[in-house]
Amino acid sequence: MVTEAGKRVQEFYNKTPFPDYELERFKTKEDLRIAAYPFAEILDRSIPENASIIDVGTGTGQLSAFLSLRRKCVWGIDFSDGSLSKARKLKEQLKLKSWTLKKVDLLDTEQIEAIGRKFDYVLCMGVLHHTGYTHQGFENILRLLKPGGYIGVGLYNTYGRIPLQIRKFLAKTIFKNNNILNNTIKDWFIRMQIGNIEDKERARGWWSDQYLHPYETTHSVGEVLKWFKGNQIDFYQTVPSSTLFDDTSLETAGVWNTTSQKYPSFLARICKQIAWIWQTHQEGGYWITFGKKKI
Amino acid sequence: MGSDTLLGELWEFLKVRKAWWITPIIVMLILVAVLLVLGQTGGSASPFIYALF
Repeated sequence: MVTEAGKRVQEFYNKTPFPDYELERFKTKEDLRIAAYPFAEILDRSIPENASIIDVGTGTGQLSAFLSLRRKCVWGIDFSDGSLSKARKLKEQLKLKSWTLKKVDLLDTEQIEAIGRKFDYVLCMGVLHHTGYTHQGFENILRLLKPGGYIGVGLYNTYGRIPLQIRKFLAKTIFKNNNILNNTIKDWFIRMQIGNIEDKERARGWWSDQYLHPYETTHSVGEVLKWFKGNQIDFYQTVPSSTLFDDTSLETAGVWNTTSQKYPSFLARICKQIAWIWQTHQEGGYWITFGKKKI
Repeated sequence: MGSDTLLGELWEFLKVRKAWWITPIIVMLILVAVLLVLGQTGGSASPFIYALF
């Protein structure tokens, strides 16, 4: 299914691959390990070594490449030739044999079925909100998940993204011209989101993705919980937490953890999502929901 | 409610000036504050869950 939004997004990512990086940064596997931020390590530790993983919308592929370092079967799929081309160069450079890359449009059920296998873990981080058919996309990627398999879905939150939308407006109006002051402010905006801007290709990728993207939607926790319920997915947790008085440590509990985070009540969801306006504003209101498919 | 406390002074102000229209604004502000405090409770900050490398 090639949608109007899909075409625009595909062209966009062909021109500006995402998340992107300077290839020279990753000369060895160790470079990739060192570059991983703490949450990438938490994800890695949360998944057993013998598990099969597919990263849907892998882009230039840092996450799936990293996960393949200690696993035998990790797939990365994306519909952008531009992003996949960079990922393939990384695969070749690091000789990552267990990392499979394939061009797939997640809205196309035939292409999804053509993959021909199911996975223990399906990750779809920051992808569905660019498809135009988020719910349909979610149901499509479930086709790749084994019964009893685990899923992680990252999306922009309707409330949490408000500050970024304000920054986006400022960047397009007040700070639109190229001068030292405006560029400093834009650098500050992007540094807020990715930590540092030393890797210029990465900084450009993030700037384009967050501030110049042709299509995005935002979603609430309640919406995703409905998708989970309607598709026999047990809710595990969200990151950041959407439960009141939750003090779980991600470092020790991992992300597919049910020990302390309860199913978020309506009140908890309201409180948390209002808090996310501030709590997640640096990352553009991004949050991830984790769950498990019923057997 | 003693008039030497903040709430007391506010109550006196509302009574003397008959500015009851302010009441819903104050109630809403308190409600939002409570929601924010509840929302922030617990859970360690998890920076950079989107940018992973």
